[in-house]
Amino acid sequence: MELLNEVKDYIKNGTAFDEGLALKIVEYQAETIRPYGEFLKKQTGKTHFKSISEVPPFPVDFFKIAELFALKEHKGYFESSGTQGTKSRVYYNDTSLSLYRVSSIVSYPLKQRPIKTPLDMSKVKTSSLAFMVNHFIETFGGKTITNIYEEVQEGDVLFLTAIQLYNFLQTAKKTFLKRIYIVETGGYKRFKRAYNRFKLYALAKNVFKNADFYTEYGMTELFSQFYADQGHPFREKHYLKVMEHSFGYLKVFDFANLFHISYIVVPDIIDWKKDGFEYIKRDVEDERGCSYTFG
Amino acid sequence: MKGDVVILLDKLKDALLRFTEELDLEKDTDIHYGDYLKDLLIHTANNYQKLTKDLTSHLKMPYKTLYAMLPGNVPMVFFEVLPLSIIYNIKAFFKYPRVERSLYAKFLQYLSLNYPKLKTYYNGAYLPHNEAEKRISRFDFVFFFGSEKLIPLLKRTKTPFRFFGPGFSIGIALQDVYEDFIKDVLYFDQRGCLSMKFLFYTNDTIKQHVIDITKKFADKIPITSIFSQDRFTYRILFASSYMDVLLKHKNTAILETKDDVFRDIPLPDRTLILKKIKREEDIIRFLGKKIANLQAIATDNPTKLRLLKEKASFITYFGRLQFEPYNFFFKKGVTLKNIFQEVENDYQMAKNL
Repeated sequence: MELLNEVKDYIKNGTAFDEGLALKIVEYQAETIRPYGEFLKKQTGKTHFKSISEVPPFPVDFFKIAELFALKEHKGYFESSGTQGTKSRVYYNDTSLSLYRVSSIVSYPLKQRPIKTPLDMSKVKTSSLAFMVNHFIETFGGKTITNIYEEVQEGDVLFLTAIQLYNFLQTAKKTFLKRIYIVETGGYKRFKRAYNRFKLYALAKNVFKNADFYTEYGMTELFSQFYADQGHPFREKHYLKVMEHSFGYLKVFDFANLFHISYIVVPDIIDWKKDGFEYIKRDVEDERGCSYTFG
Repeated sequence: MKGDVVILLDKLKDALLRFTEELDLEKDTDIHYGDYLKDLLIHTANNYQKLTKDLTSHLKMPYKTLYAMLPGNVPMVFFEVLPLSIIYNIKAFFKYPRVERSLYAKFLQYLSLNYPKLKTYYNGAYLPHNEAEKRISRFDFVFFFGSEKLIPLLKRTKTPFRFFGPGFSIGIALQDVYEDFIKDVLYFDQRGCLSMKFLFYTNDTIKQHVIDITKKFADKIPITSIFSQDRFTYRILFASSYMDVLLKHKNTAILETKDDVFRDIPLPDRTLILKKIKREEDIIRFLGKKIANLQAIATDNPTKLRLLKEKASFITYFGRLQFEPYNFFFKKGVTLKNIFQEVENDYQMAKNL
């Protein structure tokens, strides 16, 4: 498929946001994903655009209620954790997963290092996170572990969720002195409040004396991932473009989402800094009053 | 001769009226509902007196202390609980929400200075969630006001309680809407169960009238301090895929649905959903199971409604939805006499959902 190859090549070799290719993708998705075409028509009256600024971002909640897949047949779906209620589903097949594999590797900053993870890899067919980490293990080596002290070696990458890291720190009885790289991969919603990764890492530094900390920000609906290394904000990429550099909901264009929807808006509040963004929190209504919550 | 309870309720009425008169809405920047709030407070104060109609002495029940967990953005609940303390001779502690805490604290301070005997009935504070929960066991009875989000907390609560919420209200325009209907919709950003979420109408002239009135008042009725522009925009984008957008102002919208049965999707704040109907049965069909959460109805002609009379807590005129009748106690079927009885349906809702 010509467009698939073009996108893969762009993810691997591109340098700046390619608006022309982005518009081509929007047009392709409008033609092949009926609910998306209807959405664009309803919002703008058209499905062909001259500028990306004319395209409305697609609310990510649609993944909870509609089957959004550009190809004729899927062979499975990734499901979100559903910590906010209904789960999102992102359908896939071998073609779309090939793009996921390319993009996740290009996005990943710690290539070639073995990965050790306490993540549950039995969900590799339904969890995009498990799929991604499994792909990293297949590519760079590594394994799932149950004992961090014993199984994580010098130079390894320890890949785990924020909650797993926090829980480990709560029970850690001794310091960990090997030089390692920790990739913390969110799960922020379970914190149920604004989450500050710097506080978590400051706490972690008391145990992991010689670790470098990286944060991965991803979600089921995005086939590319943002990464932040210690002290820096999450950086956008040419193929994973934050469309509004401001404080508010994340609006992102992911070229690797070629077979579902590329331009989405997510109810995650971000704060744009000079060269990237900080994740503030998932927007939840904490002062709902006594009104009935629809939806 | 007036009994103590009647004298105290008279004093409470007096206190609230004076407090309202002295309330400086310009100065109190965190209390920003304008004169509408004052109108509601005066109405509530006048209801206090009506409650004395059949009372000669305190009503009896086995509890001495009440814990009331107040909802955010629904300021009248606090003032409606106040007379119950006097009537039942029970000391109440209010767990304030973040948003109106200064209003409530200000009123209790006002009582302290001017009506010390009344103040002995009340206390209150804004507490973090875990502290608020810890305190529950110190009280004999709990009133929970709020949304479905409270249900996990209710499940953990061993103290007897009543759960008031969640609910929504509707409007039914048989021949026309009055201009004041917009107050039912926009004040408090639809956070209360007495806020109008749906308006059912019978002819297209009404529809245009609704749009014109909304345009006129959208800017005049302020948003609450927690209104989220991003959330509003996001949900409009989502909901508008299923409904027609009749009006989209910066923070106010009117959508119209053609569905016969409501499609359950997250609704934006300050958004009225219109639905054209021919008869009352259409409304019942449209709301489906959600009719169990119907709180009240505003209309241009309350006497014309037959079927829905049984479904709602009360029916009133447009513009009066949030002005609760004196015999209304937060939920259909709850009366002054049974409000401190833990009932099966509250319990079931909390334990089974």
